Amino acid sequence: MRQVINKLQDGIDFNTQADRHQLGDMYEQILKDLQSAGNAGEFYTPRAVTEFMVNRVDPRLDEMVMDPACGTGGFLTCTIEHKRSHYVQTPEDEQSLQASIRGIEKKPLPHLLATTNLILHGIEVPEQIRHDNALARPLISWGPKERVDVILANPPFGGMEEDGIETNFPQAFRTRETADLFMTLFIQLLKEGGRAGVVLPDGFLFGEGMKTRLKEKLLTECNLHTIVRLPNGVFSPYTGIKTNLLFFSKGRPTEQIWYYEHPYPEGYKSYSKTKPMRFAEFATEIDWWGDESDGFASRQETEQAWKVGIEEIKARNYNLDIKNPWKGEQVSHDPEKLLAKYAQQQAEIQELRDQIKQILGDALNHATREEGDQV
Amino acid sequence: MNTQELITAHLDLWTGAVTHKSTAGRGRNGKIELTGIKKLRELVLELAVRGKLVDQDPSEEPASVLLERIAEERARLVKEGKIKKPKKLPEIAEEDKPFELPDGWEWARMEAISEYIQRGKGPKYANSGKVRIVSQKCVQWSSFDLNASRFVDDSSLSSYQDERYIRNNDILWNSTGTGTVGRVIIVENPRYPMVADSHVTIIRLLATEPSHILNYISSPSVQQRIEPDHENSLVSGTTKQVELNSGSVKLLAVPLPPLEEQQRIVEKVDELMALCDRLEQKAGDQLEAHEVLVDTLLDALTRSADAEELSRSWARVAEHFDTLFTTEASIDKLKQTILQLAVMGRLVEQDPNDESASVLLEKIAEEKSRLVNEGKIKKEKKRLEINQADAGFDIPKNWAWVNLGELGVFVNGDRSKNYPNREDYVASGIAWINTGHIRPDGTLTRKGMHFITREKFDSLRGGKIEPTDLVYCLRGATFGKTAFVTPYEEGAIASSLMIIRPLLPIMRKYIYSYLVSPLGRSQIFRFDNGSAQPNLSANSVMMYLVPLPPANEQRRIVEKVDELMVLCNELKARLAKAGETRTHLAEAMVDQAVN
Repeated sequence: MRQVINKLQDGIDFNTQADRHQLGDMYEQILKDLQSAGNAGEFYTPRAVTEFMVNRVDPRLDEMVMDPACGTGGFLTCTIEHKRSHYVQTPEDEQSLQASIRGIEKKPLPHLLATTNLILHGIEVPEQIRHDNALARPLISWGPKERVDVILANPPFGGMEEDGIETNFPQAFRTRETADLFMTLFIQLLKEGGRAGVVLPDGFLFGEGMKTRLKEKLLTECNLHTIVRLPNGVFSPYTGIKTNLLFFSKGRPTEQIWYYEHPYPEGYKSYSKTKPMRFAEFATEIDWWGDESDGFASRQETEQAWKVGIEEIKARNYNLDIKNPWKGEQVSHDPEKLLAKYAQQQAEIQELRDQIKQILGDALNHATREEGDQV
Repeated sequence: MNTQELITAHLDLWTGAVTHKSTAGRGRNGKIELTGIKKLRELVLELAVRGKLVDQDPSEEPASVLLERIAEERARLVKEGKIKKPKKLPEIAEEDKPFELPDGWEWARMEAISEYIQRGKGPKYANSGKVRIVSQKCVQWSSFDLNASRFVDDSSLSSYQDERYIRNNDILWNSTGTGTVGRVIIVENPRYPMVADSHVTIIRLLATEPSHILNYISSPSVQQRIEPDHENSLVSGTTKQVELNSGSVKLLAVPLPPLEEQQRIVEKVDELMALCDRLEQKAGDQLEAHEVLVDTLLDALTRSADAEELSRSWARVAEHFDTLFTTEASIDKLKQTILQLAVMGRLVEQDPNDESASVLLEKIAEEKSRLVNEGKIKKEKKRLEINQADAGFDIPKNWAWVNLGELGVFVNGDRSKNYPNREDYVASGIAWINTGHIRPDGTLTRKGMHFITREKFDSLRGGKIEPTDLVYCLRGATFGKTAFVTPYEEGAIASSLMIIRPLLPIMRKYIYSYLVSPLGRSQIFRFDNGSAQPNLSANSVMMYLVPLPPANEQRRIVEKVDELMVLCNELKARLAKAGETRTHLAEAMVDQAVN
């Protein structure tokens, strides 16, 4: 692959750091444009989000980092840059870095893009990006040796896996919804003490049934210490829904969850192609964050941050969709603001409708396949 | 975008705003008010009276000259003794002028442009006579209804001066009572002699287009002032009994355009209002059509005879999903359909490895015998055979039809002399559960629960709940309402309720889903005696036909139903919020345009 690229791009010497870096940046831009064009959009998490999540999870030099749904490799390349700028000092360090990145991607196009992406970020031989479906193995077959220190991921929302995939999972966590199966996998794949940052939609937070059991498992086996709630439009134009960044560590049960509502920057009514989300916006969160080693003792409640104890969460039957208690409902009188609000609401409504349609259609199609046994 | 562009660019959006009223009103839409169109009408009126609806024509005689002519006319009438000499009217101060007027317009007090303004007088009523009495009931928005009118006693007619008789082009303005006051109408060519009662004010204009004044009075800026709390209120009295006295009417400053412009404005307003009428009609038609569409497509799902038909019916629903599920009512219907499909065995896959329902029935029967042996329940009489044809559909092979009575123990409340009454209620204690405590989500309320003391509770000999029970309403308009007893672990039921205690508590969620499904609800009608206040007995409920899935499948069904219900409820909530936003938008649009 590398030789091919070398041949194609005369004048760009892939063996110099600087050139490669520049090309890497351009490549990122190409991937980003692909997202707006609607092709492979669902495999690209906005840069500001991946940077923030990598920054907070802070993978160390020799910690094994995996993205089992890596798409075009955004989390992995961010991790590489993070380790390089913070922890790599010698050529041996660089070798450790190279060995500590893992990804799995099911679809061929994004897998190809991810591989290329990693080459451009200096990974010599990116065979650690496997073209595979991480969900296609029995959950219990992921043994201790395959467990990792860090997981960073944005599983695809609203997708359904084919028949049979769910049988790889224990009865209690069987579902055909891709994102939920991935969550179960993430919990399994983390070592004791491992850390994770995962992007999930509102539907995961308030969903019931199997999702309730999944959330119970998550909060029992892991410490879900922080949920950052993002506003609409972060993933635009791919989807208008609201997303959440979940940060958790395996090994201790959750005692309380801190919520942080990320506001739009001053003067923004939403994000757009020309005004995308930027990493700099997360400065307040980073200042507020504190340290996991002391249980985030320095965190304060603010107009954007509030905490909820585990007892309350259990009483709510693990409904994690908890809104900011500080914000009252303010009615705007500005038609422009109202128009924007209405558009957002409609986008959320559409997502919900799509979800219901998919689940119901799926159920009916399955149920009718066994017909012929009517009495 | 400037205001005009905003309004027209999003016209469909904001004129389509709809509000749900909590009580059903008159008219075809009952609970739904077409707020957007209402706002559109308001916009038209506000623009009309501000001179923004039609262009000014400088060649037309300006209002200042018109006013002089009117003043002359009034002076002449005084001379002829036809009207009393009017008091000198105070100048209209700048702060009393609600808005800027275009060139050629003037502010004028109502009295200055009228020959007669007076409230009617309290009449001597008769059931027949020569002269009718116009009451506030006759004055409706856009219609004049004489059907309700009574008559003046002929003997008192001599006390009515000529000017009290209502003439062509008189404006009638309701002047008393919240909800009634403020309504205004023009009377055209009265066919009978009629006078007003003491609650209606007559305004008789001079050389002024009555419809223009009608429009001004009908516009929000005036109607809003018919509130005692308004800073520029036109009315006196308390909120319940407001009075618009004729002094306020006489002094009311109205915006007066040139006479020809008045006519042009009135024409334009009529044209636009007619368009609004058509829009309303269309909107009503659309809402109806939408309802019918939703019903038809969802019914097809539950009536599908086989897998293929179900597949086709679903495909049709899926194709139109986004158009169908845009209202809360449609989501409610979807929820009902989901429940029906669930209890029919169509929602969830059958697993041939599941222990069949007949095995489950045996386990239930065992549990029942155990309880009988322990003396906890009475042995029952043998039950009737089940006629499956009653249900109208087939169930999967490994299911079984049963009577509800086979699945649970039915416990009635204690109706003896120990029955608690209001005086027995205390602030805290043991829950005393009534139908009104059932919440739509299938749990019991905490707020508003009644409590009785432990002593009182101990004195009752029946109707005591266990934590895994269901309660079911047997009486009144709410019969068939049901819930889990969550969050209560201890309590007793009032007489309208019955306890359904599943023999296997693990089945309670399925039983609940069954009871709230269309199938479960329809069972009521197999037994109800058709009277206005239906009444069920425990024995009737025991006979309900229940399709029983295997134990494992029940679990899967309940899970799938829960999953979908949560999403449907969330969708309903968001639709409601979006609807509110739309209404706010309509209000904001009109505000901006007018100010």
